[in-house]
Amino acid sequence: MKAASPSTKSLAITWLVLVVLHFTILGISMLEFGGIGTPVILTLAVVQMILVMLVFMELSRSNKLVRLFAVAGFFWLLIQFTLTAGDYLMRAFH
Amino acid sequence: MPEANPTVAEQFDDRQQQRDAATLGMWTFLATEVLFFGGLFLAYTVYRHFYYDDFGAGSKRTDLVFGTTNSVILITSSLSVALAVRAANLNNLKSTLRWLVVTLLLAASFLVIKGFEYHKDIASNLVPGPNFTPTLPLHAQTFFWLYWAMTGLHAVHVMVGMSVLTAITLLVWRQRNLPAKRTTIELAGLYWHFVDIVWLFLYPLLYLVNRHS
Amino acid sequence: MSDARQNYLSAGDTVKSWLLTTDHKRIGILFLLSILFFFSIAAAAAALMRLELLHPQGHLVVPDTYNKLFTIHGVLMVWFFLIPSIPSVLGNFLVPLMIGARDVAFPRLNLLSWYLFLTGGFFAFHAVILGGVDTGWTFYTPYSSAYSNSHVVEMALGIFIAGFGSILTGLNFIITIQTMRAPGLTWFRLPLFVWSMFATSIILVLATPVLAITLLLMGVERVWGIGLFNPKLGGDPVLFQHLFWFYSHPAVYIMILPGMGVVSEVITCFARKQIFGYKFVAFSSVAIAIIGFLVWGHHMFVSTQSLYAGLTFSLLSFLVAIPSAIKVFNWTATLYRGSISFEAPMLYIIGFIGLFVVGGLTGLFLATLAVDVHVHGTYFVVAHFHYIMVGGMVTAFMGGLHYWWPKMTGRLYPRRLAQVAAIILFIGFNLTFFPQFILGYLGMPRRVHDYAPEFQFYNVCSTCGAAILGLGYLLPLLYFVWSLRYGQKAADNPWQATGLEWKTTSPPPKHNFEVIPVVTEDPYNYPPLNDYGEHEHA
Repeated sequence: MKAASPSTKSLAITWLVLVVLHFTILGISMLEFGGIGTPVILTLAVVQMILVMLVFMELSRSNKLVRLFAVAGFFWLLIQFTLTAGDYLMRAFH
Repeated sequence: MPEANPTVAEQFDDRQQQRDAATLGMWTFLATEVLFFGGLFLAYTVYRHFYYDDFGAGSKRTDLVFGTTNSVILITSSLSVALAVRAANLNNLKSTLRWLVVTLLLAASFLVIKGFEYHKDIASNLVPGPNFTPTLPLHAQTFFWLYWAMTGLHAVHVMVGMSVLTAITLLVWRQRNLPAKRTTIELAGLYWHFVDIVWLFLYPLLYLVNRHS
Repeated sequence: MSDARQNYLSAGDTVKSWLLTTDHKRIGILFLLSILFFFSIAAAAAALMRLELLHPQGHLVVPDTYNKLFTIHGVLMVWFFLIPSIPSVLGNFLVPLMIGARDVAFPRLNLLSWYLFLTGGFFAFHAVILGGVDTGWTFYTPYSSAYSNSHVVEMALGIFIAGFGSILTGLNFIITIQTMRAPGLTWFRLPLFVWSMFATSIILVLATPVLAITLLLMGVERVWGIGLFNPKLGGDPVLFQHLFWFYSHPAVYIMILPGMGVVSEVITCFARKQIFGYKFVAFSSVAIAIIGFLVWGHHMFVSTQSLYAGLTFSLLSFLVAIPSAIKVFNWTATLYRGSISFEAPMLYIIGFIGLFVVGGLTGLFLATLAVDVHVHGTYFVVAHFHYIMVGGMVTAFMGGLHYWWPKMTGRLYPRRLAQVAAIILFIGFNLTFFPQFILGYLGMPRRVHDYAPEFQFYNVCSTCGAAILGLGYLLPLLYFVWSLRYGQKAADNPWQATGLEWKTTSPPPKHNFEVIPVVTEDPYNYPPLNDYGEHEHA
């Protein structure tokens, strides 16, 4: 049987963290960070996504199979990005 | 309140198998959605790499207030739908309905704000094409094409999610049979969280390019 | 006798009971009839092309029409015949039976996938009637998105909608195979057809959405004149190709993997032998599905794609040939010291193995960058993919239909005639497409309606072959229909094959099994052969 839903407290805390991250992202974008700004922001967005997946979508309480299905799409997207970006970036070497 | 035993469809052995199948099915569907949006994200990445400055110029014209507000609304709607799922699992009919309605109201607010935002964008000549504002460079049009395409596609998904949640809310309210609808609510919740996640990426990519310069 | 009991065909004979069915077996039949319709149109287009190509300066059709013919042929064959063929017909019919289930996981989604197919097909057909499309099935931009004067949007819409149908089919199979296997049916006791359907479904689910967004973006660019793929608007046509081929290369594995699954089933039955290297064959299906996603750039070697990307894709394309080769070796080893009988299904499957080897090897030639630069856009490529698609996939489909026809319909077809038809198809196929390798190597470009006079001889050979090939398709159509009324009634297991589908009646009852079987044995447990090549009797 599946575990019971997450507690109201953990849901609320997750919400709070998501909102804090959100305004952090906004803040970082407003400040001069040089080239590092964008990767940091995207990393924070990924953290937000992982929180939503683990807590709201209950992946932390799901079995291995569900988790596999959950990451599969992203893995495939990674393939598409890597090889396509590879083409564009490698053209610089011509 | 009568609590009928939830039925098991005839192709399944038992309720657990049906539930497992449904959950995996929804995750599979979400994987297809990741790849569906992925094409747009790929195009965005390629063009942003080549035309960063134009993208920055275009991004500055997006409305940060609308965008940020909508982000908070969506994040909160994820919370409310998660609370609805929790209430359904605890067999609390009133609470489930309450949180479902809250989610729907938040979703509607998102769309209303989006409506205002789009209206403002159109009035500011930010639609690519012959009427595009001459104050922005050529590839800012590419940026805005992606803006309209990505937020538009996302909004369509918000509407679909709203319709599904509305239908579920009505069914639960009328039939009063929560155990039969638990899995459905969970699956709708998964879909809703996905819609939220897409926005979590759209926001920095569209609203926050080069804001500091 | 099976006809004394109700079976899935006799359970309800109203039109409504068919159009609103959720029975996976009926849905398989509905798909069979639907794809037959589109196959006919696409085959007619091919016939017209081959007639035009009889003469170097043929005047059967104007050039514009010729462009439309090869586009219609490609679009309909790929999306409305090949991709749904084995998965939606044989897969739908057999997967629940083979795993001992009563239906797929989501029967109503299954019916929906048929209606999506029909809806998409309607738009595609309508686009054909209105005058067709001339962009080639590959819809390269900016021709498709800006300059073509044909019905691109409607055709793209048809493909888009049908694509969602195939996503649902894949989703259904993944969940069904994952969660609904009979007691005792572990992964390594599954028939290899099920493994190949699982691998195919992974591709269906992960690749098709990319096609959807790509066609959507191309269509929007065409309608609103603004977009991402037209250089005039600052866009990049090569980006379209990256997006398009990210789907369309794995799509060819959607087409071939199910055929390979059929081969494993038929070859074990008609060699009366356990498959050689079960796990290797099973894992190779998954390997093809995964590695197949890494090779799409080999369609773009001459597209201005980076040389280094080209080298990477070339290397990866060589890698993807390995699991296919593993399968071929294992099938061959299965034949070794088997007790082989040449029933019609087996003839098709043996044909498959030979033709697939030719197709696969020529794929390696094309994967070699330096060679591809010369033969890209020539008939060499056309011959290569027809060897795989027709010599491989369609042959396997025919073999599968002949193998499972008694199960699906409860009827046998004329044995000798079927064997003759299989041979006619093989001869016709080779006569049609082998000359095209030569033509391509000599430099004849593809997708053009006229050609240099020195190529005429091979073109005439090819057209004659096409006529014979057509006969090879026509004969089964005729005798299959004939068998429905006049064919001898089939027993539950006319081939004495292993597999759960043979343990129920021919045709099966609506709920597949009276009692859900419990599986305790490995698949393909044909009795072992003694040193004389005879079966050991218990």
